Amino acid sequence: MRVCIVGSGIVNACGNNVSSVAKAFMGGHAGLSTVSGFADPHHPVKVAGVARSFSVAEAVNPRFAAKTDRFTHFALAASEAAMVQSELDLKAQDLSRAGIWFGNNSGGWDICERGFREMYLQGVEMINPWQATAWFPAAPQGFVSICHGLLGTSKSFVADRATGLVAVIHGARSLLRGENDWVLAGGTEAPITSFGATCYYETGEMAPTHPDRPQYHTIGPKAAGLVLGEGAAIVMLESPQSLARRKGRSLGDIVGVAINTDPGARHHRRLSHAIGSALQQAGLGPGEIDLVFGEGNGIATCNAAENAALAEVFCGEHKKPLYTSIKGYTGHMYGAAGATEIVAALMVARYGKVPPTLHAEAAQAHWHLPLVCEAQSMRPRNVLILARAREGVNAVLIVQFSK
Amino acid sequence: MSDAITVISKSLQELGIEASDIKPSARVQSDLRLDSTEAVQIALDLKKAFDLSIKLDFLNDPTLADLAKVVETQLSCKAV
Repeated sequence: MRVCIVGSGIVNACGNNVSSVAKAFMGGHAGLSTVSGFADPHHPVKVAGVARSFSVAEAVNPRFAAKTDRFTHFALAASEAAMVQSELDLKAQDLSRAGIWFGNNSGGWDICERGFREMYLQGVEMINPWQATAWFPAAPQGFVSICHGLLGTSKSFVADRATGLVAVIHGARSLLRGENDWVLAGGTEAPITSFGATCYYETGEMAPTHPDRPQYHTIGPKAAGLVLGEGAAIVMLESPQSLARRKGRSLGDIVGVAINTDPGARHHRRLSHAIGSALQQAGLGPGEIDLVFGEGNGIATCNAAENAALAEVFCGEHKKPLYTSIKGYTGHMYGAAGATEIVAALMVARYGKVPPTLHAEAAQAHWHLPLVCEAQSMRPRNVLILARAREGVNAVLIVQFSK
Repeated sequence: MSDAITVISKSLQELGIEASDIKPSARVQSDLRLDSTEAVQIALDLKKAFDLSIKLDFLNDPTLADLAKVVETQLSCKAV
């Protein structure tokens, strides 16, 4: 397969555009901060990756902003950036051939929480009219469609931590099936509200955090669970034929993808198989992968399964790829993760540097692949990205860059 | 301006409509392009301000002054 990435947009705790986020990633600067403003001042989630520099007023039309939630605001901003970078004059195209394939794990909660307060304090008839539409996990897809008039085949996905990558994979497949000529694909998530953070905390997978130490240990002996983050990452995809017709430039090509499911979080055989399937589709051997952007999320069970799968796939290789996890910079963004790693791979190709895994110095002895612990120069040819949901859904994608 | 039009104007501003577009002569559909959810929010703001349940009818593309008149008529009926 070959699907071209022609534009990208990103919002997270490290910045509002590709260059500011790249600067943080390459410089080893995490965007995590102390959380305040929850309804319960004793809320156990003390640290998160909040997109503090994101300005709704600057990024979103005020009419849309009033009736949409934060995860839709992120998606609108990142989609706009991806479309601008693509240099595609969409208004001159057949918009029924431009689809939207977004992932989101938990919907939007700002307007919903306001609705709960309105119901309890003022009565059911006083609930705001956007209670249902703003929350809905397909809202970002819907509002991007309304905002830009995109009418192609579109879908929204929910698949826990694999959500963003699953959405991009299905969006790429819609191009291969000839359903669309252009696709906006990626994910968005805004879980850092009183109710949203409580729901994630109740999974039991959040790391204990201290307000004085805004850190997220994703790999190694101090890894003790997840730290939440919010943001979006959207890429514009186009078929090579369409791109050739308009003499456009690909930022990187998706050449192999796979989705499957292990029987549970502890199992890894199907993950190994998914990596093998994506390699086979790309026509590559394991030794041709230069870099892995992994799930690496701080949960011991997840990390062990990922490490075992990587060991299985790369055990016989003389040259092993470098491995990094960027979740320590932004927090785990669930629906926006995976797509964020794709944009990070584009950054590596553009800036020639791999972002180091934060706080991973003591982890190398336990990790099968060589960990990137300091920013490292590289012009990769093939980058493997993988994501894994809590119950074992695996998503794998390979991005190839021209030599 | 009447109390009703003041409440309607404030509601429209919170809906993200430019202050310069909010005039008594502005029509809700052809000028302001209000949708049904925005109409519900204006009705909720009127209910909060005047304790008045009102269904705003946009069918004939009324002006903001027309809407205010409907509200004031209902208020005067309520007072009787």
